[in-house]
Amino acid sequence: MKSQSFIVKDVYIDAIGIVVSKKEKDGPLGKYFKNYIDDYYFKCQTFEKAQVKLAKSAISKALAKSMYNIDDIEIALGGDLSNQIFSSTKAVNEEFFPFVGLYAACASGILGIIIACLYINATSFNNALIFTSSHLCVSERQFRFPNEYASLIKETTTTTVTGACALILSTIPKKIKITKATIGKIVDIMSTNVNDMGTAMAYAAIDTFITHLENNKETCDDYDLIVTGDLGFFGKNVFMEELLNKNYQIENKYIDCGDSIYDKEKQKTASGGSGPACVMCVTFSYIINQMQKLKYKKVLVIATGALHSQISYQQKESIPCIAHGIVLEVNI
Amino acid sequence: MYVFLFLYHTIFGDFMILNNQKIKDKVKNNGQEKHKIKNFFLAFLFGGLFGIVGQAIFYIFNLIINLNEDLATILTSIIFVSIAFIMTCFGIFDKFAQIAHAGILIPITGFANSITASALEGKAEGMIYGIGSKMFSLVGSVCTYGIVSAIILGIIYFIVGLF
Repeated sequence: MKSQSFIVKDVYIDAIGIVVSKKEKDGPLGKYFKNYIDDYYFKCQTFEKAQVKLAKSAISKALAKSMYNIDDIEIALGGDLSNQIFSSTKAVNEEFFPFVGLYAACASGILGIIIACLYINATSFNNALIFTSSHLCVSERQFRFPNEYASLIKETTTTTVTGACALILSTIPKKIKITKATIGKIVDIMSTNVNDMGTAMAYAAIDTFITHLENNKETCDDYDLIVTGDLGFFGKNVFMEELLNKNYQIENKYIDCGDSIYDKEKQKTASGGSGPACVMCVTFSYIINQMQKLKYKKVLVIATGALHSQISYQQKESIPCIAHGIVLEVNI
Repeated sequence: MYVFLFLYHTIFGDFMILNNQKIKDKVKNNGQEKHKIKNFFLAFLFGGLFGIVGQAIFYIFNLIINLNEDLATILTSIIFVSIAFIMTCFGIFDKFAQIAHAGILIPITGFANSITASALEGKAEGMIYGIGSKMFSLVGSVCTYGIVSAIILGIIYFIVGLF
């Protein structure tokens, strides 16, 4: 069975709330991020609490811009990288809406959008809240080494983006709509190198990209821009090369969120950004901004995730990767 | 036979399971260090520098303050550990290690850094489950195999001493 694509009817992006840290603000896309925090603690005692607060503030920013009140939200979907997606659960513990926790590593946010679209299409309800967050120090601590430990950063390592993104989908027509979605399948290239997840995830992205075009009987020319999640500098090159070998002409209309969020040389972020907030923050700030200016009209966003755990790589298991795609279009 | 298989798996395991030659090359090449000679030189330089500084401190204690050799050696180590500890607490150590590489990680400063970093990390979980138990999470293996190799060497020393 191949990856499945489906058409989404009448789902529009109502409001977006994004909060990032100083590091992302200083990056090349800094001017698109309006809200940012100065330090990683965010006036909390621990980094975990800071991540919860990030998610909470992103949700409140989205709700402030939205036409819905917090009581009107019919379902919330969220996911992050912390153990047992605790940060997402904790972020909505005082609210009264139903909540679904998701885990697809760095693709959690996009998976949330896909499921929200399915939910809205299948039921009579008409809004959904999707949020995701990630924190550099929390993920560093969970997946790698303690923060202050002097582990040598490899060139292929990615830096987790600190930030949170919340968005509200609704059935009431707005400028940007979601038209198609593809749920990807697990691709495992048998790589056990956790310092180079970009290359491993690139093959999952390629698989989802090709199946998405095949299922919808489209070509690259139908899209103005192709966005991948967090392949980083190395994964991006693999993605480009492999697709050019297969005769997909994507050179001039492809960007990678992880590669573009940081200035690789100045900020010393090795291969680029990663984390669930990476693809969400870049797509729903920079790319949405360009779409509103009508620079891009149809954009394919492929979020990738490396689904390994801390134990699995210590036991030398390979990294299974996944990629989910959505299509954003300008509503004319 | 099993020993051979085990060794084979640990040495070549990572690369053997890749079936596609092209993907295999790509995964291998991406992880490769490009500035090996530069890093090697920097590590040598900084490692040597710390050696000279250590020796200077040792001479100060031994010749100027007139302490005996054992005490001077211990005090030199303590000074280095303290410096690494303070640097870690202020968040300078890991940035400095990106420049000095093995030059700062292999001496006792690396050991001090891993203990301090783990302890700092455990602070949020409290005194017992946090600082107390997590402090040795990284250096635990160094301690364990240090003791194991000491036992093995002790046995060899004992057997050699019999003849």
